[in-house]
Amino acid sequence: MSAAVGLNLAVAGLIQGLLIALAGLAVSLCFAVARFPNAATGDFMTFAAYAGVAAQAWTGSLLAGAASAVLLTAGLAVASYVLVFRNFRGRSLVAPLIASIGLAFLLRSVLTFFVGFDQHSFHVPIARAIVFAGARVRPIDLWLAGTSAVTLLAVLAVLFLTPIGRRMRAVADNPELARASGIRARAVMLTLWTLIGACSAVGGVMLGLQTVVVPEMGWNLLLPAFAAAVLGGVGNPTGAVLAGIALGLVQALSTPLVGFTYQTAISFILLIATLVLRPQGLLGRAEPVR
Amino acid sequence: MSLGVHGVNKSFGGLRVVDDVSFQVQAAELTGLIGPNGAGKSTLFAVISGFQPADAGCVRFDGHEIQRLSAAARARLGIARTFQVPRPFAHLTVRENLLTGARDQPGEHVFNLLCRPGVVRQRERQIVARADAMLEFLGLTRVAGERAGALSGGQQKLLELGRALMTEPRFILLDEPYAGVNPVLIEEIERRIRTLSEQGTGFLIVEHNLPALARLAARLLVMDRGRLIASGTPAQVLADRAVQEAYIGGGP
Amino acid sequence: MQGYLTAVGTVGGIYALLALGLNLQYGFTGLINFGVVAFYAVGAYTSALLALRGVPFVLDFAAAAVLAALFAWPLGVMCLRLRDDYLAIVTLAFAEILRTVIVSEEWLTNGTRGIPGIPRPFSGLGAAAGGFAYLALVLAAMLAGVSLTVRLVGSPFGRLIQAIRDDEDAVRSVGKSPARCKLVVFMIGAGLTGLAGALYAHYLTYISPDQFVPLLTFYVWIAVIMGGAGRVGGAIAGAALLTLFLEGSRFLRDVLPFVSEVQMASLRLAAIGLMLILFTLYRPQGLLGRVAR
Ligand SMILES: Nc1ncnc2c1ncn2[C@@H]1O[C@H](COP(=O)(O)OP(=O)(O)OP(=O)(O)O)[C@@H](O)[C@H]1O
Ligand SMILES: [Mg+2]
Repeated sequence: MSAAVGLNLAVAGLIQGLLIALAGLAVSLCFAVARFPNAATGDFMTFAAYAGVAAQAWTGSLLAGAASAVLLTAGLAVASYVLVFRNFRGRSLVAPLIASIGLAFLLRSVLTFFVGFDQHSFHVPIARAIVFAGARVRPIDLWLAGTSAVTLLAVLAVLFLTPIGRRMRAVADNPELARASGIRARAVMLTLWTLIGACSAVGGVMLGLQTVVVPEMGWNLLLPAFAAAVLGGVGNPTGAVLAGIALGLVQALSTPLVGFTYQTAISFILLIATLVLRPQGLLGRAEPVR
Repeated sequence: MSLGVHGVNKSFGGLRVVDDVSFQVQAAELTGLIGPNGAGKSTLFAVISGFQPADAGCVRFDGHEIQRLSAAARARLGIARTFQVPRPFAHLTVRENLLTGARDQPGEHVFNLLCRPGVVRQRERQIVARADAMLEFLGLTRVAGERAGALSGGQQKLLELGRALMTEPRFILLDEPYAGVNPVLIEEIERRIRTLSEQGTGFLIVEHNLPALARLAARLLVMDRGRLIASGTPAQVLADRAVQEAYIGGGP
Repeated sequence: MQGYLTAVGTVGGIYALLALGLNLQYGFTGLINFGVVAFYAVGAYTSALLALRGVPFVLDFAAAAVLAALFAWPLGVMCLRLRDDYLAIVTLAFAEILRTVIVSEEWLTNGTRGIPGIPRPFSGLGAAAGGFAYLALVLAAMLAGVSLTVRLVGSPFGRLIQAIRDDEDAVRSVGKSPARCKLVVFMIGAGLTGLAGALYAHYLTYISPDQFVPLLTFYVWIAVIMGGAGRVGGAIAGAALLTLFLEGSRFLRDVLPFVSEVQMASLRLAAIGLMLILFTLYRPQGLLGRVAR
């Protein structure tokens, strides 16, 4: 492959990787603190994309659309915690896992009931692609990459630089110990679900901006998101972000070899390889067995 | 036959819970392991029985290093353990809980179910007889058909002991066998343990009921904050200043 | 009317077989298989492709079950010694990938156009009698599945898998290794699922990738959960309830003319989603069970 093609693929891969990183971060946060793989993450993203399109149509501004999508999805995530996931405390992870699948279906069906299956899209001002060393970059892609990167950094900053983030990590490391030392679970969980919602929302809007908005868009990103979360080490959000970006790059760069259809198969293969070789993830610590 | 730990260390997220512990326990010498709450006794049990990997050090059974073996393999080798908080199979009956502990049931392989049903049935009869005897001994016959999850805490404690005994162990680690068990039964269990011990089964027992343990044990080991701080006969150990201070000083 | 009942019975019987497979895996052993539809598809495609190459029915049904079980093997080996949720993630992913493979490997599967003209056993008997005979075949397979479950569950092996469901560490503490038993159960369940796939393919005589969507997996899940996980009758009762629900929603469409066909599909999905949430929240023991899990 020529250098220009390679560069183009790398740019596309980086953007795809940032998207997967957002979804993977949402999954990983939930994995780390609430301790189950949240299968509704993808449909949070779908919801955000639809909310964004609707809000943009209503206000006429892309920025307002995106902002309302983030607010609404964060609200949705918090509501799903309060109404559903909160009630599973002390039960095995099977229950919230199944409920998250149910929630995914419920969200998607409510969307399709009212909006149908037609594809929608954001209105994006058309602009010329910038050509740089043979790689064509759309301005919108730069915006996408920038916004995703800023969001990822912001979430990690909350996690690592604020008191509530520190408490969140304490709960992630050792829930019993954290409970014993009197960490107030409620504030932690509400912040957690706000972050999960915000991450998914930015990811969903970005995904919608990049292509089109369809009901299955988020569900289709679930597999790479899970792969990123596992690859990065269960309960290691930074790892999930790095793994997500790497996954996007690998998927894109392998396109000439495996073709477009089997792109997602790459995440599956990497997922399996991780489980076989390093179940604790590339960057994770071993999980104590009790 | 003996069980030894040598230089075992175990930390949880920077907190050193077992700190360079070494000792050897002879099967012939019933041994107790005591120490205040949080001293690391249960964690040490988990390391010995293979439920927690040690950060450093090794575990020897009968002269062989066993720390690379899985928990199941160690149990098959003859090291049984009970859990401090009983972990019964809650949806199985009490009798089934005991049956699950029995070793060498070919019926646990689907192949044998299909091809050697006669052997399976015959072995099952033997196991059921043993389980019923165990139920009788533990005073659980009356609840044999009930779901184990429905038992009281004390009864679950007994079931835990029974299930471990069903594995025909050569060495048993008991984690607070008397907690929640009524005094009459404690004496009963004591007698049973003594009998087994005389027949050659090794015991290492963690127990907070010191008088009961002192009656039983030939030797006591004392842990405090992850370290082994004393060992000797019960009389020696209980008179030891460091031990008394550890207990009075309280936990971590 | 009779034709309709036969059709409903056949489909319900196939669901029952699927539910029996999942009940063995999840209900009795605690395995979270989110890829039911994948093993179902393996069974369907295997038997369809073999039948079209002239392999006798008996053999292609058997091959469907065996191949589905063989597909389960590597997945099980990789995941079953790890945390429970890894199996869930991997099977879910496997189902997605398998669908991609079916769509894109046209030389084998005919891609999105699907495979038409799969022969149906007993079709020589005419529509009514043939349909009836096929129903009998499905019910016989279901009963075989029930009897297999009953015998397995009542055996020492069954005792062990239920112990695993309750507490894996305690199973280890008595010297048994959970991973081996879980693998066996996973494969047996997948075999039943594959058999159901074969029955489905030969019944419909046409299969295509869009019949094997993830939603189907969760139809089976809701059947097992409604009926009561870990009880033999639960799978059957759950499958009956599921069939009733799916058929009922079709009738509902007739009395609600302002709801379009597409919207009805959304409503059905919404109902499944809501049931998954509500049952796990409020009745994890199923509709009829008393004992909390
Ligand atoms: N899985 C774990 N993760 C983190 N910390 C742990 C874990 N298990 C035990 N600990 C900590 O290790 C220390 C020792 O615990 P351990 O259960 O071994 O004590 P113990 O001597 O058995 O106490 P007790 O008499 O109360 O049973 C405690 O501070 C406990 O909080
Ligand atoms: Mg203890």
